[in-house]
Amino acid sequence: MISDKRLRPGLKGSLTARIWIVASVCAFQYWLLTASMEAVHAGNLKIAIPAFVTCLLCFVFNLGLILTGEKKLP
Amino acid sequence: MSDSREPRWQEDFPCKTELEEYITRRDFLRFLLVVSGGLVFGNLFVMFKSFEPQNIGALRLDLGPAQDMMPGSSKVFHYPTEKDPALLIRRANGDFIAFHQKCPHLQCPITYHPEAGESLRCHCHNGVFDLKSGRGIEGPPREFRPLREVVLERGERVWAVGLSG
Repeated sequence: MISDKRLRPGLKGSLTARIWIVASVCAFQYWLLTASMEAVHAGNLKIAIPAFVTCLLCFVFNLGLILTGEKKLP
Repeated sequence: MSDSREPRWQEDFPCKTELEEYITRRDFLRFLLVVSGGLVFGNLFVMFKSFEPQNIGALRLDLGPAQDMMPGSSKVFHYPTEKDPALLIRRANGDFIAFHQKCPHLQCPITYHPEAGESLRCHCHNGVFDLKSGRGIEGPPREFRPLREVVLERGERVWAVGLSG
């Protein structure tokens, strides 16, 4: 077993929290993709643009969360 | 300096399996970011797909002589493009009707069943459609738009002349 002793316990906790948040947002994005694909197949074409914008915002949120986290790391 | 407990060969091949399989939280987060970006591209693809023209205008397609089809039978044709399979149905009472063949739920092909009151069925998820309106009456298709009807013209021959709606 390898332990990452370079990280302070608080920093380790915040990294783990980030992983959970980003993973949850990814799961939401995945659901959004399947739902919008199903809607487009069903002829509800208006849903595609809001779904894309929401997905893009989720990505920007994830990116921001990761970049701010990286700055705090040694 | 090498560890005295390590076998001699590891000095020449200093490979640590434990380290090879070790993924840091940072690496895992970056991997999740790549997944997130991939999902954005997936949604972008769906958005472009939704911009594709749905109706390419009036196009007349000869579907053959009316008398060639027996009442209670069906045949597949493609309208308005080769990518759009449709089902021409001659009902038990002799009327012709045609629908796009893709189920609006997940695009499985639908089939015509002349027995037991005539119906259109999707076998992927046991969907049933009303033959007059193309609306889903059983299974997942109830939640979606009706099947798209192909407008027909009938004389001695049957022609597909457009799409309804």
